[in-house]
Formats: sequence, C-alpha cells, structure tokens
Amino acid sequence: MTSLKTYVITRVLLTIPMIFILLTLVFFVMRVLPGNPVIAMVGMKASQRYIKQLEHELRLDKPLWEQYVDYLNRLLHGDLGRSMIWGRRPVINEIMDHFPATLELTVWGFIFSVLLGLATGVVAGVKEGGKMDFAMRVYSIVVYSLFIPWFGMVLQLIFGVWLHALPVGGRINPLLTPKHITGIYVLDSMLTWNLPALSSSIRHLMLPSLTLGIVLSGIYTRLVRSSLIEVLGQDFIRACKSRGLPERSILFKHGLKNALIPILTMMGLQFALLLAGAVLTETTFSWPGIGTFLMERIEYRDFTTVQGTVVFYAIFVALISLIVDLIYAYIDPRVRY
Amino acid sequence: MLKVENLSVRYMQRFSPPVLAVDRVNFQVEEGEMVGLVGESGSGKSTLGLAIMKLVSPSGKIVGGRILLNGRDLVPLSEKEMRFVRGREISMVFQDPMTSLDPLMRIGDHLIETILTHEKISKKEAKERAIKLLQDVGISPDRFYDYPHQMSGGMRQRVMIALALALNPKLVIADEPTTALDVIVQDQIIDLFKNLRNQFRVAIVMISHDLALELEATEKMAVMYGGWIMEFSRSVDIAKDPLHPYTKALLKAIPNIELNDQKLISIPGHPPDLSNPPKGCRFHPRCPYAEDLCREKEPPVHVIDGRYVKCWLFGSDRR
Repeated sequence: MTSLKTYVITRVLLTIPMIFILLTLVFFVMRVLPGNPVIAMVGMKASQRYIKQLEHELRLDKPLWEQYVDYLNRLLHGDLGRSMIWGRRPVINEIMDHFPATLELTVWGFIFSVLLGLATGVVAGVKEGGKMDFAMRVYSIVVYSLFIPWFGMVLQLIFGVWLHALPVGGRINPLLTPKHITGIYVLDSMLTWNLPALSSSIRHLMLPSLTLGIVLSGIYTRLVRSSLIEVLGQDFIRACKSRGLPERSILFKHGLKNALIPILTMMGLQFALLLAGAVLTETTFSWPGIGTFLMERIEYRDFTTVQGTVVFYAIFVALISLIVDLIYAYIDPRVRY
Repeated sequence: MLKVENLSVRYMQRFSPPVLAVDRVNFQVEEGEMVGLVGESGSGKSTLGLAIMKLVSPSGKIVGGRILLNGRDLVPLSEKEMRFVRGREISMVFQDPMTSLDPLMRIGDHLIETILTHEKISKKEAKERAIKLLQDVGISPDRFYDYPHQMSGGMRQRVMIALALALNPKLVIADEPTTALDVIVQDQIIDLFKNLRNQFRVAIVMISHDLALELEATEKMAVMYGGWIMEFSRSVDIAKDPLHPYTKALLKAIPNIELNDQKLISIPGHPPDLSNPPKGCRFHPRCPYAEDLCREKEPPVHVIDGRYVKCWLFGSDRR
C-alpha cells in the first residue's frame, strides 16, 4: 500500500504546476481586460480621488508583478484573499456559499449523462450496424452538438411554459428552503425529513440536470458503444458462449463490466466539461451556483474572486480525477499503484 | 457419437465475395476418442471446430449439412437450445489462453459461474467441485482466488481445460490449445489432455497445424486443405502410409532431428484463395501428381480399407 501512497502524493504534487499555470493565465487575462473592479463598482462618474483611493486600498496601484507575487505568496499560505467588490468578503466564503448548488446540479447532471449514455451505448453496441445502432449514433451526435442555453430554453418552453409541469428557474421554492446542513438541498431535506422541500428541490433540479445530462450523454453513447463492441469481439466472450452462459450475463457481467474500464477514465476527465457545462446551465436556469456567480464576478472584474474560483475548480477537478483513478484500481485487478 | 455430415460454413465479407471456409465436410468421432484436425492456416480447421459448437456467427453461417451428436442434429437448434449443449455436452478450449479468460474475474469464479449456470447445486458444492477440477488439471487450490493476469500462459490453459471439463461433457474441442505456449508447456498440456481423456472418458477433437504433435497424440486424424477434408483415417496409418499427396507433402515437411544440415522442406505454392478457389481439385496447383482431370473435376471421396481420401489417384472411377 505504500505504492498507493506514493501514487496519491505524486498525483497531488502534479496538480500544483497545473494550478500555477492556470492561475497565472487567469491573473493576466483578467488584468488585460479593460476596466477594473473599482470602476465596475463605482462607475466612471465617481471622482478621480475616490477611484484612486479605492484602487490604493485594493493595491491595484502597485506594479503588476508585485500584485502577482503578492497574490501567489498569500495563496501559498492557503489564503484566497478577499473579494474586491462590495463587502469584501473572503473569497473562500463566497465560493462555499455557491458551491453546494453547483455540486448538486453537476452530480445529478453526471448521473443522468452516465445513465443515458450507458443505456444508449449498450443498445447501440449490442448489435453493431443495426437500426438501433444507427439511431443511437444519430442521437449521440445530435445531443453532443446541442447548445446548452438553447436546449435549456426549449425544455423550459415545453415543460415550464406549455405544460406547466416543472419550474424553469431557481433551486427551490424560497419559502421551503431546508435547514442548512450540507447546502445540498436534496440531501438536507432528506436529513431533516422535510418532504415538501425535497419535492420542490427535485422538481427544480429536473430541467437543469436533464439539460446538462442529455447534452453530455452523447459522448458516453459513443464511448460505451465502441468499447462494448471491442470487448464483445474478444476471445473471452466467445469462450463464455462456449460454456453456455446466458446471453444476459455475458453482456452485462462480462461484456459491459470490461467495457466500462476505459469509460471510467473518461468520466473523470468529463467532470471538467461538466463544470463548464454547469456554468451555461446555471445561467440558463438562474441556478445560484458557482457558474452564475463566476459570470457575475467576471463582469465586475472581481480579480481575486475569479482567481480563487478558478483555483477551486482546478483543485476540485484534480480531486475527482484522482478519485476516479483510485476506483479504477479497485475495479481492474490488473492495475496496482 | 459425433457425426459431421456434409457440413458447409460460409463467411460473408463486407468488401469481398463470400468464402466457403468449410465445404461439405464429413467425419466422425467415437466416444473417448482423440481425433486430430490438421491443416495450414486458412484450411478451415478452426472454423470447423467452431461450427460444431455453432459459434461461427455473426460473420459466418452454417449453410448446409448436419452435426449429429448422439443422433441429434445440432444445426436446426436455436441459440437458446444450443446454450444447453455448449459446456454441458460439447465444450471448447481455445487457442490463446491469455485472452480467453475474463480479466476482471477470479479463476475460481469462472468455474463456479459455469457450474452454477447449468446445475442446480449450492454455491458451496460448486466451489468444492471447482477446487477438485483445478486439482485435476494440476493447479493448486490456493490459486483459486487468483486473477487471470497473475497466472502464466500454461496455467491459464489448464484453467481453460478445467472450465471445459467442468460439466462433464462428452466432447471437448481443443482449437490449437498449445499454439500460444512454449514447447515444454505444450508437451505438458498434451499429456494433460491424454490423462484427462482416460480419466473422464471424454472425446477430444484436437485442432492443430502441428502434424508431428497430432500423429503422436491422436488415434485418428482428418487432414484439411482449402475447406475440404482430404484424408481421414487412423493416425498410425497416416504416419506409415499417407495416401493423399497433400498428406505426403506435409509429412515430408516435418523436420527430422537426427539429420544434420537438413534443409527445411516446404510445399511450394500458396494455400488457395477460398473466395475464388481453383477449379477441380483445390490442391492441384501444388500437387506433384496433378493431371488434367484434377484441374477439371472435383475429386470424389474414396474409401480404402476404412480410410477416406479425396483424390483422383485412387478408386476405379478414374478415367
């Protein structure tokens, strides 16, 4: 198990340069953009002195490299700094306020995308070249090329406006908000056995997570299909048949299980895409998560918050892919770290 | 026990004409007998082995003939009915033991799964039987929880054999079971087959391109060429007095260890393209005895002292 420890440590260490590069990019891109948080906040009509004073308070009058070194230095001490606009709350608090909403959305989106991708991929892969295979391949291409805001609005129109079946925005009926435990409403309302809150939060979740899930399922359809076709063509599948095993168990117990191994890796990588998709989904469904929050803060040129969020995202994605790798090792006996 | 009559198998290909890989083939296997099936690559021997289990689909199809197992024809059986024949009455050992086991499944679970699929016994009994089977093929029971990748090729092939014997079938088809193994392990595996044959009274169809190995191990053998069985008789007869020119050529090609500086003898020419087979006898382009008749008409099967040979050189119906 020491090798596992080494593996985890190496992986964690490897994320450090990645975060550093990302951060440097974001740091300079934000500052290349016209405007700064002070102007975004008080507007061009404020007096020059007031603007200068605020800029001084935020240390924006310092040379760029000094700001950069200063920021990195603080980051190394685990401090994401404070927001540059109203309230100047610590960035980490701001993130934590919005993160549970995003987590809830992405987890459900992830579940939908995997379930849909698995189902369609298996249907396509079982009979390569058949009618269903063709249909599923078309499905995967179509959903993959959907633009999330457009597709979200179509669902809003159908289920919200025409059918009045589901809410088109928000996380929950505000009057029903459950007691804050984890910040994930579905979980919180289950923990407090608050059924109205549970039903409201699930209903609010449906459209955004379906939007995200369907759009991202296209990739899984393709992956599951091709992986399954490859596995089903392998010798051990024919060997299973020669022992008279039932088709169902050959397909699922031997075929699909083996086919899922390469897909598992993709799931980890897909998580980054999921977070990106979540930004679009959140804006479409006014979902109060990190995505909406990030868009808002970019407009305000809230440098520290944007930087902090990016660092947070990077760490989160790295963590997920690490977890996926560890699950991988658990499922595939051939992989040992 | 097993009687194959006029069996033909055709492969459909997407971009080229269909191939008749096995063409009106006849042979039989008696109980407890070890029968060899030899031929070059592409002669149809593996296809024939798979066809007996009806495992040639989706690209291949049995297009004619009968496979009689104790009098019952397997050809018209549905996939569902075949499921109860496979493993239980006929089972198979494949060429490459490295890829024939599910990499995510423990060795023991392979055996238990196979046993429990076909027999209504408790998991504990199945496990006991699985351990017994592993011992029969010479694998220590403490490898029961090993994954395939933790075993060598020879051991995996032993596991495959244990799997093939798990349900006490009457017939095991071994498709080049030693080709992927090194020579020493090859001998061990062949010995294992011989022992198990005596112990379990199971008939074995041994498919191989190694004529020397077959001559030593089998009682009877069928020599295949271009989808046809050219000669089918007792192995001792073939060793002593081969009838068919192809068999003769094959025997000559076996290197003799006692001769120094011996040149490797080969059969000139190439195996036939089965999507466009030569007219007449399929071996005629490479046959030293070929005559005009051989180039024109397909040879009939002659029976000489209980030996079958498909060649114009024999019989009285020759012009």
